[in-house]
Amino acid sequence: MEHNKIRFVTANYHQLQGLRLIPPGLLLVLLGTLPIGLPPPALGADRARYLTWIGFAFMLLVALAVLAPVIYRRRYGSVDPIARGWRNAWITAAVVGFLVLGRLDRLVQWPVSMRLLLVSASLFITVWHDGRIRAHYLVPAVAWLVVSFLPTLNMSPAATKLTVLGLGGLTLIVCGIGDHLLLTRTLATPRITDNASHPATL
Amino acid sequence: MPRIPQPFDQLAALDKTIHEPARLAILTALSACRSAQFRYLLAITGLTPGNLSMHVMKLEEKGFIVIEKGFVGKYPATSVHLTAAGRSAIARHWQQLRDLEKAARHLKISEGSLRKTTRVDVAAGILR
Repeated sequence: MEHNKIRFVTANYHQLQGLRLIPPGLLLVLLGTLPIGLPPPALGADRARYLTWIGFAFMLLVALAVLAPVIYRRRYGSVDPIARGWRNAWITAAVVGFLVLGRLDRLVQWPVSMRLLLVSASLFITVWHDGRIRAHYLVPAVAWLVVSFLPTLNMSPAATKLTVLGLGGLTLIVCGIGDHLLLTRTLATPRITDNASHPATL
Repeated sequence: MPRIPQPFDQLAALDKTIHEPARLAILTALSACRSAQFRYLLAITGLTPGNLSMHVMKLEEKGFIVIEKGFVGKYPATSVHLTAAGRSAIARHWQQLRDLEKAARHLKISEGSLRKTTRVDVAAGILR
């Protein structure tokens, strides 16, 4: 087996548990479609039923997001990672940058959305840093680069919200599936049912 | 007796305990984390439990790893981590492999140049 892959998958074992990203991705897509595709009924039993279904979908997605790490732990065991402060610092900087640039976008009205450019840049930087092993991040990176030119199209706020939330959700889903496949194709399914060492030898 | 060229010296000097493919994979995986469960090592190496146990025991005897048995909730769990000696041994081993690759490439280039020179000399000799 390629040793670089062994190192990468072990060092990034938690980040590569892509099934965790799919429920929030679906949630973002759902939130994006709500104001356009599914206008809530004004009153009565229909509205109650509508809100019940939305609430149920939300709880189901949260439950799946919580369940995903358990699935990986039961199937492949767990790894205690080496702390990498730079990764957390980078994520914090990206989130702060996203919020600050969002404010600036509203104030300055540039032809290009700076915060969406930041998202695209973050994905490109991930591919550059991790290499070909994360090539599946390229498609969302390019999509965000294109979508950062949305202000030039003068779209309505609802359409912009649908595009951004929908693309955000699809990004999480695509990256999640890609990372999950990378992890599962690298790790063989163990031939024992628990985490104990083999009884005959240890 | 003619002297063995350098890359082969380096190849012969590699630690056989570490260089065995399964143990190299185990140590490489452990070098990328603080510790890993036995189940994870089974998944990353694709070995059978008995085979992995044997390799892990060998590495423990050499002082490269420590095996800890505990529980996760009600379930027994075995985790493995590198010792300081193990961490420096695997880092040193990979550096030796990188140096070996460089030396082997240099040897190939040198041999290529030597062959070219020999052909030119022979051609010159024939022409004379």
